[in-house]
Amino acid sequence: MRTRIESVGRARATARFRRASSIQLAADAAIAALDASGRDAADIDLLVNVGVYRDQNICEPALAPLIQRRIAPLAHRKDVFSFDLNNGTCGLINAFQVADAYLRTGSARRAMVLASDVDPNPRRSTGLALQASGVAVVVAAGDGREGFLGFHSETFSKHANLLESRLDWLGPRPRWIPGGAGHAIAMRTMEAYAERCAECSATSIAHFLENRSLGIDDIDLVLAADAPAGFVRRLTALCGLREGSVVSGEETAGAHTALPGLALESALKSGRLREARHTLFVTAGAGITVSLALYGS
Amino acid sequence: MSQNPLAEARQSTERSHPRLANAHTSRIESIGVRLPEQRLATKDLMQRCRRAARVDLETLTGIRSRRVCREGEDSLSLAIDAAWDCLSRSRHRAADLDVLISCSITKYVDGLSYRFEPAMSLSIKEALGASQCLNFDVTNACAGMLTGVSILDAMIRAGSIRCGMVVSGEYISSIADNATRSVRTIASRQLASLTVGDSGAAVIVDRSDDPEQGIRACEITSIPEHSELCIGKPFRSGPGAVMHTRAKKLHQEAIGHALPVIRRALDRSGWPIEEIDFVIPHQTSVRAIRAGTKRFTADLGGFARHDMVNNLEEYGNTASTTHFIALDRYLKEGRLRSSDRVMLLGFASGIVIGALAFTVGEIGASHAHAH
Repeated sequence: MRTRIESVGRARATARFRRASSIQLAADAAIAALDASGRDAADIDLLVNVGVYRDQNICEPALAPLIQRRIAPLAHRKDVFSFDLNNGTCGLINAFQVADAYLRTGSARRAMVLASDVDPNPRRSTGLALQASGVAVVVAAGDGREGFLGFHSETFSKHANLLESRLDWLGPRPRWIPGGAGHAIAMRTMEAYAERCAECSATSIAHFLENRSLGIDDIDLVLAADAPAGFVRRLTALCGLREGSVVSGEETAGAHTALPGLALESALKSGRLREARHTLFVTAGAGITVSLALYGS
Repeated sequence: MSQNPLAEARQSTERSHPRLANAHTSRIESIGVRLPEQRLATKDLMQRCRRAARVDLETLTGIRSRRVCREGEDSLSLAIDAAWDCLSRSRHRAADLDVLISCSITKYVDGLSYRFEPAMSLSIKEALGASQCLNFDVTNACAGMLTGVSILDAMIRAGSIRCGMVVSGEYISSIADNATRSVRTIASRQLASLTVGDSGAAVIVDRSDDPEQGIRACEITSIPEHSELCIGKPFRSGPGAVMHTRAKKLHQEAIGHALPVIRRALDRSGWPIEEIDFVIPHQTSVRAIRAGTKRFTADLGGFARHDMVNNLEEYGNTASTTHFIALDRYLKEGRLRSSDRVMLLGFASGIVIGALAFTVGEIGASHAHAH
């Protein structure tokens, strides 16, 4: 049995959102993914949300049940296991790995992984350049040759200080100041971050492929989230990737946790995912953490 | 959608029983906790209320005191200390961990600075020296650690890993501090915030060679139509967080929807309820525990051999760690034998309901040895 990608849906903040909602974006993407799969939601048993930046910085409950409540076919189900998994941009790959375990043991029949981020208060946040967007991926157990062949994660903690984001209390302010008193998100990104992410990813890719007795020439398609910006360009040069073999979702820069899913959507839509014999998913995030997945068709 | 919870439970159990088909089984191998030294009595907390509160919280909840962080302690430090405690009782070394999952609701570092990235689990694994294990954070309110155990159980049964750690540090007492500004009556939506205490807990789950021992069932489900009954978010007027809870409704719905989940866990484990020795529920109030016992006894036609575990008096509601704080105490007091069957019942905002059934096995021996 292999865990195969069944469908992908996406949602973008539009004018109808006065302030984009991460919950609504994820729910809209989920509906789009269900529509694209052409199947109903009756056998979705697992819902994992990997979005980090959310409406009002809600910390309880997990966002997943709040999103599930807005996905009409799942809203009244009482047997779906939903929770949040957070690991920055790498969250989506980690969630695929977790879903793979539940599908392989038969504990779930189909699973949906969601990612969406919004800046809950752009007037107060610093260093957080998000483009509000959401993505949903439906994965299912398949008997064919298509599916995930393996996962790999590595951390390079000597670079842990290159990106950090926190929510801090800024102190009381007069209520007439726009944004009012309260908390604010600050993301601090050091200049060398994109460069180091590319170097760490190149190292991880070499380890991963070597362990599977593969070379970079065996990879037909690379789905690499371009986060941080400029990461993919550097990675392409470092790994000597073939021109045209990389799909990065560059046009949606700033989508953060949704970015790998948006690259996947692009590859699925163009038919390249199904055509490629080996597809390598590449994500790099704070830590520096690199998460990879190998997908075979 | 079926309106009959019993029919729902039957339908769900009619699905395949994959646990029996999987090549591997998992077990809880070790538990560790970290409780801050500082105690805060309920009567002292209530005296801080700015509006003379007409609430006898101690009688209402059974909570006499709770532990609270001192300066220099936070979610991360509690989690790291609990993880070390867990490793000190384990046969495994940090390098043996394939996965480390942090499940804190509160992700406070350096006091009350809430960290989004990097993940808390990264800092914990680095502190332990488990650099090359997979790490990520999971949040599922007070069912976070149960969710983490469920993930490790699935990964072990799938053959993906051999050993992992679930850890949580909860520096949650800021919601109690902030609630003292507004709580006045029993109807206050911040009343439940006054029940919380700080703590850290960690658990190692590994592959078991004996299919009869270890984790027999882990069922967790969400009831999203009630997901807005309890919402926690940053406090608008100061540091930390605030939590608004419709406690009575939340309790009613959680108890009302728990039966199919418990039945599913009993069916999967193959244990009738009478053969469970201890049931450890999420610790919110003594009244809720009593009401739950009464309802489940009536619906299931019996109950576990011992009364539901009540660990509220000294620790209060420690959020995602409650089950493991209670389990650790019972192990240290020698109340659990290796053959005992235990069920952890999770009730969390979301609403999330979970039931984890397992045998104590060697955890008891490692605790007795360590103490």
